[in-house]
Amino acid sequence: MNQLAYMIIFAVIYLGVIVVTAGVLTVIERRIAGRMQSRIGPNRVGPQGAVQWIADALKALQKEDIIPDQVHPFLFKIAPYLVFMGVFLTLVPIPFGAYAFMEDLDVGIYYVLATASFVVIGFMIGGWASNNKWSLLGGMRSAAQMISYEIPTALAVVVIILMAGSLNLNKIVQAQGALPHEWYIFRNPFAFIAFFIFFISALAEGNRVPFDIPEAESELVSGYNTEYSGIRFLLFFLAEWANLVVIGALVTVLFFGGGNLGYEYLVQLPLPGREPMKIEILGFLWFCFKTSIFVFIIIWLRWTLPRVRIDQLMDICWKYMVPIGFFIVMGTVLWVYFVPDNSQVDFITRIVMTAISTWILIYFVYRVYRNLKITKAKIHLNPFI
Amino acid sequence: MITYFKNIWDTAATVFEGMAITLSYMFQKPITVQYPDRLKEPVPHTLPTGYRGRLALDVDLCTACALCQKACPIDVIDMKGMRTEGKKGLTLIYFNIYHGKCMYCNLCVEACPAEDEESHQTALYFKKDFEGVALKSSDLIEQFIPQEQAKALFKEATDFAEKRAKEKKQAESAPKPEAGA
Amino acid sequence: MNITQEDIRSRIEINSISGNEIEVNMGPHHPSTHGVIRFILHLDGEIVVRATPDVGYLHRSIEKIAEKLPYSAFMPYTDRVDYVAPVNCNVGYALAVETMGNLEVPERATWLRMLGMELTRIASHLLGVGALTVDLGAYTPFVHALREREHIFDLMEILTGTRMNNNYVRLGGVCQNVNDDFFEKLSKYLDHFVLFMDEFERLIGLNKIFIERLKGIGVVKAEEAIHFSLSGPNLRGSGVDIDLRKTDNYCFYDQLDFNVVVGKGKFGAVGDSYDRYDVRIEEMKQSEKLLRQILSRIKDGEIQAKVPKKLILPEGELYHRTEAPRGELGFHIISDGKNLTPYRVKIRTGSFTAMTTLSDKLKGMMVADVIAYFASLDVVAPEVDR
Repeated sequence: MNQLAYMIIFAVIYLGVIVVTAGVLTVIERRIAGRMQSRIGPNRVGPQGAVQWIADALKALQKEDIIPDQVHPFLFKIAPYLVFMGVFLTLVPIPFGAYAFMEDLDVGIYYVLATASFVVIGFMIGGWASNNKWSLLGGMRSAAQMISYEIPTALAVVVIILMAGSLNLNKIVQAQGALPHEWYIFRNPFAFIAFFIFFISALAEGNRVPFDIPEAESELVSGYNTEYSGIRFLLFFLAEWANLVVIGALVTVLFFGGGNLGYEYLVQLPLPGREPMKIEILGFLWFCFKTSIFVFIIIWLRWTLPRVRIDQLMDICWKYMVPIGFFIVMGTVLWVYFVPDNSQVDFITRIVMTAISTWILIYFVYRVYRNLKITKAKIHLNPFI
Repeated sequence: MITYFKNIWDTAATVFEGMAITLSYMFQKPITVQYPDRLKEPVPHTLPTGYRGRLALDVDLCTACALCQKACPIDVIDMKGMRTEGKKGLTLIYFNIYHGKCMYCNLCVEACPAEDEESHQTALYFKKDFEGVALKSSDLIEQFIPQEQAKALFKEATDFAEKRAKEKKQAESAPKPEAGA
Repeated sequence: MNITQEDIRSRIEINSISGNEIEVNMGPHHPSTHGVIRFILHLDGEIVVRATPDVGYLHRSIEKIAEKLPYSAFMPYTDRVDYVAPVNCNVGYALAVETMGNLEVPERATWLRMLGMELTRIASHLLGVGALTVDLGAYTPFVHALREREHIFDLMEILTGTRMNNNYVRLGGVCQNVNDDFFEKLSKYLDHFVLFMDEFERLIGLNKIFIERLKGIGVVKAEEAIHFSLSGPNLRGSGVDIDLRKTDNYCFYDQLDFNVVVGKGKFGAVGDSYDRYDVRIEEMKQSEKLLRQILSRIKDGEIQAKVPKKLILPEGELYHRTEAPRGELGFHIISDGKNLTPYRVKIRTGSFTAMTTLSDKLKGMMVADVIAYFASLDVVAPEVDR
């Protein structure tokens, strides 16, 4: 009985935290989008606009619940909840820091990939049940996109599984270290490529630009979103922003050694009726910091790139991602077999990969600086205008 | 085969460059101003001369020639000038501008001949005021001569017109002087 | 294996009898700046089988209103024929009436007219290119283009008094004079504009995804472009080098030195959508060159000649055309020699003729390409419907 009560309490707390995070993310995205477009984002509601998402949610709650004529009522109503559920279930096994996970699943990453497929059903049902030809087109395209891109995602994940030897996300994190050259991404060149394959495929799974054909004005109409208004619309969007957190968290855990600090600074929280809960704050904050960098990169990509066309999207998946995915899986198999851990070759590869990546980052910072100099712009460092 | 890798390299390079440009914008000051409460100086001070804000009339300078009314293509100006006693030329009875229709085309201001001697501002001129919000569309009609004064002037002008018509009739029906007498 | 639009077209003729199509409305509400234009598309999956444009949602009877107004009072209406580039339309009408009535225009007035025209040409092309990028999904370049348009509006505010719908030109000259610090501000802005254009190219013009979206879409070959009566950047994007500023020699364009920008098939066939985009970008750079030359040649003088208040044009008709940013803008004025108002004014716009290419070109395209092609034609609804 106690166990059930704790499960419900933790589930509610977790849902609350994720909803608040997704809400705040919408405001942060709009502020970042504004600064990238030489304007200020929303900054009037609350301090620096931090409460804007509550205002938006309240406004949507007040709207009339319009259900168009001749839709299938049950399917129309259930579609947003399926998408919502699909996204929120994926966050269960992800370790936010050392002991901050909902459940230590042994099939961790496999479970994540499986539950991420729920959203496909949600989009298809939403598109079909809307009794609208544009929504149908949008839903079909969305389904094709998401199902196709699950394969490169899985292939990139297989690379990590081969290197870690386990599906458990905790063990994957523990197998990496705290320093950059111990992260999986720099362990071998195939994992480096796997990071990009995973990142791009996860963007396509999450319907983000440059692959946001189903949602952002599916050629002038809003795709499966067209007939939804008010709180149902918000549920779709909440799921999309929560998905950003999922992608960021997964990338951090799989490739960047999320939350691993090399030591543990534990705090024990005594709870009635069960063993004390271990909380590790610094690792959690470090994990959140890394996740937020990837969320920032995803937001940044959205406001830079145009959209690809649906057949080009399929081209990218089946002609580029999948063959390269197979190549890296085979390469990783050979690497893991021939190059033992902590040998000379392994160490040299790691240092070289880290150096190359650092050089690319520094070159990028130099390009940013050069852009500012070319356009003779004044540098203004205050993010709050 | 080569185009395969060239495509990948091209995409990566151009995406990299695009991302560098957008990030560089985050380090620049936004050009938007937060109107109306967080401005450095009020906007009308920054507007150039010749800016076409809302129309206004300097009632003392106006000669009631109605050239502006004729020039306006959409009948924004409604005015009337009549003769009154003791004043040379026409007197302005009423002058209404319907701001809701005005398209700031400048044809009326150009047509106005009356000009202030020092500032060379015409009788009908554009202010630098651009904030014109009203709750009802009838609030957008601006009457430059208030209603009561317009009624009084109209009465005065019609009285004068009647008086002149009567005098003219008397002059016509009076016995004409005989030719040669 | 590359499937070209021609292969798809030949397949469509067979398939369209089978009844697998759905009919959708790309309705009058567009989330972009083209205005209210409607397409009725018959789709077979993703591919357009038949397309019918439906225009008239923005018809304001401008040509009919012209029959009731004297010539000088019609000027504010010409602003609204193409409200994105108002000074060009003003000048077109003024030149038509002045040619027909043998009215003189002082020299400074012509230079100022050309200044206004080239500035609005830059502003109009910025909007056209920005709308193309936002239709393709890149929101940031659009906002940057709008920001540059704001700077141009600030300059137009000093030059004419308003930002848009300036009503700057009068029969016989322009309405407002400027002093020298406007020219300084313009010169400073032009320095900044060159840097902005380079950055814009690097942000979106050379982006691989953008190129892949636009190359090979809606190829209009040179003979086809002439057959469809396209004009302006649409015609030059297909490789035909006709620019009315060089062939017709109105205003003082023969004294200035600029290149006619022609599409060269940079990333695909000559005459595809990327070429039309590229022609607009290069034309903006040519306009900047022209503006600098105008700045160095403008002299002091009068700005408006004396025009009879009650202007009656001699009996007859005249068609005068100018190079507006969207193509050839022509005013055909018929006067019966007796009235203060014209008998008929017909306005020929470049966007309307660009719309006529649609029902032929859209066959065989995918829905996403319809958007890309339509945006690359730079059609605005007020020009189509007047």
